[in-house]
Amino acid sequence: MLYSLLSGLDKLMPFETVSGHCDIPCKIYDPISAQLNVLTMIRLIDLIEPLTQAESLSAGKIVQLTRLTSQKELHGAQLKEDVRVIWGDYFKQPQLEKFPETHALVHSIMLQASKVKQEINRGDAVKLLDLVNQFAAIFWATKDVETHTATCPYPPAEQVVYPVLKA
Amino acid sequence: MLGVAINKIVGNSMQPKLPAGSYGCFVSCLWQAWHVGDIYKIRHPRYGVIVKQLAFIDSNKLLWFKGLNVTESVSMIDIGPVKPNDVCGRLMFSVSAPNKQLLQGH
Repeated sequence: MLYSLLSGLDKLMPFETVSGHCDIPCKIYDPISAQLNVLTMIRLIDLIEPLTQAESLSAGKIVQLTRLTSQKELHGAQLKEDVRVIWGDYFKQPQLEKFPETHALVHSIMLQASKVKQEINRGDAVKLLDLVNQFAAIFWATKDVETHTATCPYPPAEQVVYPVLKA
Repeated sequence: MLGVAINKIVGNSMQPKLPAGSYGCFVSCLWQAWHVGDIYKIRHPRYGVIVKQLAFIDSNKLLWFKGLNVTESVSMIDIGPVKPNDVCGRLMFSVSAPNKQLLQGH
């Protein structure tokens, strides 16, 4: 009865809401954010590499190099966070029993992401993309969603695992 | 009004005590001391107005809060230390839907 009364009052004069606050948003997980972060790192390396080969850099180029490098660092940190959240919050016993290799794969992603952050090596970044793609494939398999691999339609035009979502 | 506010709970991280869709009555001025285990309404700089359980008080008199539903709540580390001034009410009582139907949160 009290609930009905409050509920009625709430409809007439909505109460302020307080959030129990889940890891926002509840149950929405998607590895695409991690994949986009690796693609960004590869793209940034592509932009950084010509600058590193120049004999001398103008002030403008130094600023550009600094900006590109700091963005690579940021996207590397965000990638690690994206993967950690899916691994830590989404993966539970049923998923881990089905894909016991997940722990080792996530650890490899952490190590490889650090390596890509530390150096300017495109090969290492592509290897990181391959690991994150494996992680994405496992993630979608836990949801019984088929995946396919396609070249992303923008630079750096690398191979990405996408879910096959049907209406 | 008079230091008492009724708020609607959204999200599932305070289940089972405060399921999404329940109502909580919070008082903002009638408590004398902090009690670990009590539930408080907090104005959080990152998460907005949230409701959490007081887990402990550190040596700097900062408050650490946690959710009751560990599989869904944002973690104590993510919430971080909370200044006493950012706490805006203590839960006095709550009213849940009679059929215990859990409404979807955000």
